[in-house]
Amino acid sequence: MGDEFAGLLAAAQGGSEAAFTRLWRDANPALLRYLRVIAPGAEEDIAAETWVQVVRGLSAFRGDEQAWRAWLFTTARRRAIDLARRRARRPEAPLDDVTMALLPRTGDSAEAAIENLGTAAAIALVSGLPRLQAEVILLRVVAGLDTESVARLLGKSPGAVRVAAHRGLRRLAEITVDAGVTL
Amino acid sequence: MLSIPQPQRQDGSTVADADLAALLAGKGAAAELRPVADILAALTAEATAGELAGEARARAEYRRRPIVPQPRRHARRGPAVPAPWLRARVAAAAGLAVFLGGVATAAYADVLPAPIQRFAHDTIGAPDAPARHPAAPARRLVAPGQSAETGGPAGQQHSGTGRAPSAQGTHARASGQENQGSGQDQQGTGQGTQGTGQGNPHAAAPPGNPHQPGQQGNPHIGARHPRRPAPSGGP
Repeated sequence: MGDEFAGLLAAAQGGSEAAFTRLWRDANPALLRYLRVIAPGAEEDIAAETWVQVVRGLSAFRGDEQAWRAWLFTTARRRAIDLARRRARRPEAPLDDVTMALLPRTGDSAEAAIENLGTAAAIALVSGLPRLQAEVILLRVVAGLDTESVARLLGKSPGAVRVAAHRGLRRLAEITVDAGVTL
Repeated sequence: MLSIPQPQRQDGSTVADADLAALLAGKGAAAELRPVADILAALTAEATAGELAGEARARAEYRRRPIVPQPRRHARRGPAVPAPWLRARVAAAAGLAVFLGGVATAAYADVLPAPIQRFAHDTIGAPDAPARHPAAPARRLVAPGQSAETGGPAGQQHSGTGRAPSAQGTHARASGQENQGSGQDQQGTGQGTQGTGQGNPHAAAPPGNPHQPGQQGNPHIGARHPRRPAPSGGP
């Protein structure tokens, strides 16, 4: 959003529903894509809960666009962790099966995903990475956070975040090479 | 040093860290990393209709948000100041409390005028006023020299006892010793009282009362009437 962000935030804090809608439209798709990886099947509910919390704290928020996005994704991540804990206490559905169903398990499925490259397929590919690598790539690429912000959000060191990002990207590159995709 | 397995380039080389950093930064990608770049680009593609489906719900939540009242510039208040009438009442109550406390202290010190002291005696148990005892004028009639003659040690003892309650015990003990040791004096004192004909009710022991002379040393004799003047002998 760039230079527009400060004005939109101030307007939203002052009661402008249109400004809030602009902020929501800008951030909600990225939020859902991130949640599809860390909480598959519950992304809609968690995103809604996140916005409820954000709306409640909107008037007190102070910061730039980077801080705004960090706040959004931190809130969403906490909601996802809470949901995972609730499900761990009362398991309702085999979550791992749902996750694995989205992953390209064979070369053919990976190739198909790349050939029909779309957002959902890309998310499915990233979901096949180890959790930390997938989360780091999504937060860096989708959320647009810098390394330091991602490190704070995940409770890791910036060095660990860089390593995880590079490993994840290499793994994605391996997948595409293994699939024999040449673009 | 970390040993990260690096994917082979198509020409047999590996992907460099700089290429990955450039990829993350969106600064373009080497040819062998284009598929990865496409994946990342797909992750940041335009929003789909499904991803914006929750807009109405979010807007409704925004409309329901709690309204935080803006602080008013002139709404600042200092510490609560009581009204003038309340301050006057508080001051009057404090003054009354101090006055009553002083009166009570004076009453227990037995320094109040006799009527007030008697009132204090009746209400809060302060020592009684000496004027209540009708024998008090009789003491004034006693000449200094006669006390030694008629009352002897008894007269001296009683006249020396203070009015303060703390002196009662001393008086009682002294009285007891006195009674033990000087039955003659007591006897003589009783006669003297009778001789005055003033009918001192406190001089209850008749002349020759077998209980009086040096018998008990009963401390109650003195303690019951702490301020009673010694039944001094009459002129």
